[in-house]
Amino acid sequence: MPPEVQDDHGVTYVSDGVRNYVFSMPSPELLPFNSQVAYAADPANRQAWEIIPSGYQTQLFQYNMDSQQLLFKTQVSYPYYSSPGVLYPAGNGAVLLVQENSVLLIP
Amino acid sequence: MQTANAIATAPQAMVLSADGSYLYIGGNPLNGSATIVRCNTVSWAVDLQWQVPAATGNYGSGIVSMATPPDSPQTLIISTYSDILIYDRDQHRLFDATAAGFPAFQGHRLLFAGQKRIYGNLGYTAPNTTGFCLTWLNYDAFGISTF
Repeated sequence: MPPEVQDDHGVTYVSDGVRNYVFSMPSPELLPFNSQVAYAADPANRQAWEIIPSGYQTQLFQYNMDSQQLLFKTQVSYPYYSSPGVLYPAGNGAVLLVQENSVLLIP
Repeated sequence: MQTANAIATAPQAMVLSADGSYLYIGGNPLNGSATIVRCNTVSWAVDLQWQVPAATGNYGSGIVSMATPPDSPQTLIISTYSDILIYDRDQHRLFDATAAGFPAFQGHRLLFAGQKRIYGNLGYTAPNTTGFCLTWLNYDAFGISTF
């Protein structure tokens, strides 16, 4: 792996100092390829998140990068013609879940 | 603010420059070349637009995904149905992935661009595995690099 790819307590990501992209993190289940899973991480606040589609529900999980605990946070529905969403760290330990018809700030 | 559909024809991919000053929208019109539209995020006006030509021997130039580097808001990296290209404004850097000697990239999904490397997902994995095949390419001022 190139040196800028980091593995921090199970969260594998690349960073340019400001932006980062998460390649993988612990999941509650073995995920099939091309499932519409999305990740985000906020290493400064030691948090990472993932969304996993289930039916037309988006399940959001939060991962503490210090305690290495994975917690189920919430479940949000999304339209059948759309994607389960995209995650953006809010920078204060919260995360933004952006879907086609909504933007949710989840503390 | 407008929707991507109001700004570009058949939008396929969007990406922000790292400093947030430009939003790039790549579209694949049914009858025509793939097109990049750049919006200034202060005025929300389109300030630059160009077409991405099809690679020799390929039917179309369709855009698959895009990424922006951390240090150059006027630079855009594009993956198409057959290649990976780097543009500074509307000027194509000399070496795309094919010209640099890499085999044709088909539907390569770009994930992230650092200062020297482009990360992507080839879109397939070995049999009986999960996850995806992470790939990376080096790049420099001349384009995709083999070093």
